[in-house]
Amino acid sequence: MVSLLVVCASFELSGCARKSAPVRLVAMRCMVEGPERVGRNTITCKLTAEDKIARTDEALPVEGARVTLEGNMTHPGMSPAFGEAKETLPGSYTGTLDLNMRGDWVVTVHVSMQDGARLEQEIKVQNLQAS
Amino acid sequence: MILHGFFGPTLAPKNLATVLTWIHFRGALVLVLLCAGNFFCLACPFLLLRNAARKLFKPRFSWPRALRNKWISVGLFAGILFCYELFDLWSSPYWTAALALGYFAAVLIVDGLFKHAAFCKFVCPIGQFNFVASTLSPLEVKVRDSRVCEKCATKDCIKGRRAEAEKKSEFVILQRGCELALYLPRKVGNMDCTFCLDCVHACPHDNIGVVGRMPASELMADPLRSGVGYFSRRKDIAALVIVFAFGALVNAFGMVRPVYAVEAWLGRMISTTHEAPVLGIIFAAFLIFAPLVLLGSAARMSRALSGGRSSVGTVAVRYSYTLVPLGLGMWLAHYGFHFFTGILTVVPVTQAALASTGVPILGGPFWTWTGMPTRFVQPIELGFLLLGFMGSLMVAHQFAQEDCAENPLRSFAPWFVVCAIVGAASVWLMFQPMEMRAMLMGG
Repeated sequence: MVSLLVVCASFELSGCARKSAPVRLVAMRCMVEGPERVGRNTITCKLTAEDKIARTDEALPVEGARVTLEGNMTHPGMSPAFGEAKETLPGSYTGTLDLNMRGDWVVTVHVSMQDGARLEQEIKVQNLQAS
Repeated sequence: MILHGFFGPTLAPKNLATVLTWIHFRGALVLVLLCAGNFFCLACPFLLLRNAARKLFKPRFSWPRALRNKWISVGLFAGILFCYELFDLWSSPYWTAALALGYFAAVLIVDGLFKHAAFCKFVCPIGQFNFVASTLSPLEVKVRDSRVCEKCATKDCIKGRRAEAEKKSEFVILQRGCELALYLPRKVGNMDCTFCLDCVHACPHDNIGVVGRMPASELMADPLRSGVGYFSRRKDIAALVIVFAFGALVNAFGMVRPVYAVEAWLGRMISTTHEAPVLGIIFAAFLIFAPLVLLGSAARMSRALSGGRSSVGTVAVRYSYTLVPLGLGMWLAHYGFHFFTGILTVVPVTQAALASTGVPILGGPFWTWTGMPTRFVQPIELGFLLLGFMGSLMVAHQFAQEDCAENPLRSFAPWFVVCAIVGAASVWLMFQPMEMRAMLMGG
């Protein structure tokens, strides 16, 4: 299941004397590798950035980010699942999460980038079934 | 809690509104009802608002005579169960908070307009749930010595104590008597009793208290009850009991795997992908069709076997009360499961809520804190179900003995079958694989 694109601005503000401040727009594209099943599921997350001041069209991978995974059922009171995604390719992060019960889950991907900016994205996994 | 529901995280497991309402409140409610009594009505937060409002304005009207029964609350009780499934209330902090707020508004409107405790007695679905379940509680508000009441001339337990105000036409209430019209010397059991203890405070002889008793004893007899009448003549209370017992089944059915196959099949049958009509059919099957068939057949058989002269309807109404223990057993098994397996989740949610307000006094959220493992909770669930089954058999057998003293098994046998069917359905449901799905039809 793909949850497409949270675009987030990562500002590096500087003093008034400078004419322009570098502004990065970070795109986050996360997905649970299908087919989703009860048990260990693989979640991949690609982080890319565009420098809007330089007006380059090329999306550059965001490297060195810390990506943590969290799975919660939509019903309160159930055990959450936690995991971490490692950078397998530049800007591409992969991790697993143990979704241990049938039903609806919400996987939250937390990203902390090297410049301190934080992003978060929710992926809805509906009707998870046993394999 | 309400503020967190509206403005806190939208994810139900991380919001106090959903965690406290659907895990802790419900679980603690049924456990307290089983182990003690109707103490949740005693501590009802809605009454705080009502009592505060009554200092500003006095209600003028009496509750309409035609509505002095449980039919409204039966409809509301079934309606809330239906909305719970249809709108996935457990997964929505916003709607959970809105429901609580709506409840406050309803209390204010009803009790702002009508005298006494009209909302508690005739409207509140949670209150009705508590009234029915508390018939199995080991505690009861009761007169200690009936001889003292015989000599009492003031009857403060029901009238309360009043003093004249400056205007002669008005008066000041010094101490309320029972606002639910339960006259203590003739009060039997916990039906309609909110454990408010107004009568305890009002009695000038200190002759009323919370006393122990045998659970379910009030179901096994049918005396004239003050403020209630005869159980066997109250079709509305019998309907409430039916919604209580079969509602427990349908509420659990909404969370197990087979429901989705049933829904898909029903959806194909009536050519719809909308959830409401499909859910409506399931609710009608559980709350109307199944009780009609089961209770109707058993009443007919019981009457025929025992040679009784009462009508089938009368027998069905009377014996419907045997379902209370089975119903409470199912509620206990279901809500107890969520309570025990999620009892600690309130800790990290509270920690996170405090941290979000800039007051992280409880430290970082311990999200891994949940509760007891399922394998330990399942035997407890089974225990609750068995307890309910045994209780229902006990009540049914008592009725059968009264109906046919020379051969009670004749009257009892059909009701044993009913209890066995409902009990087996409860056990089957409890051990189905759970699916915590917010969208029943996968839409």
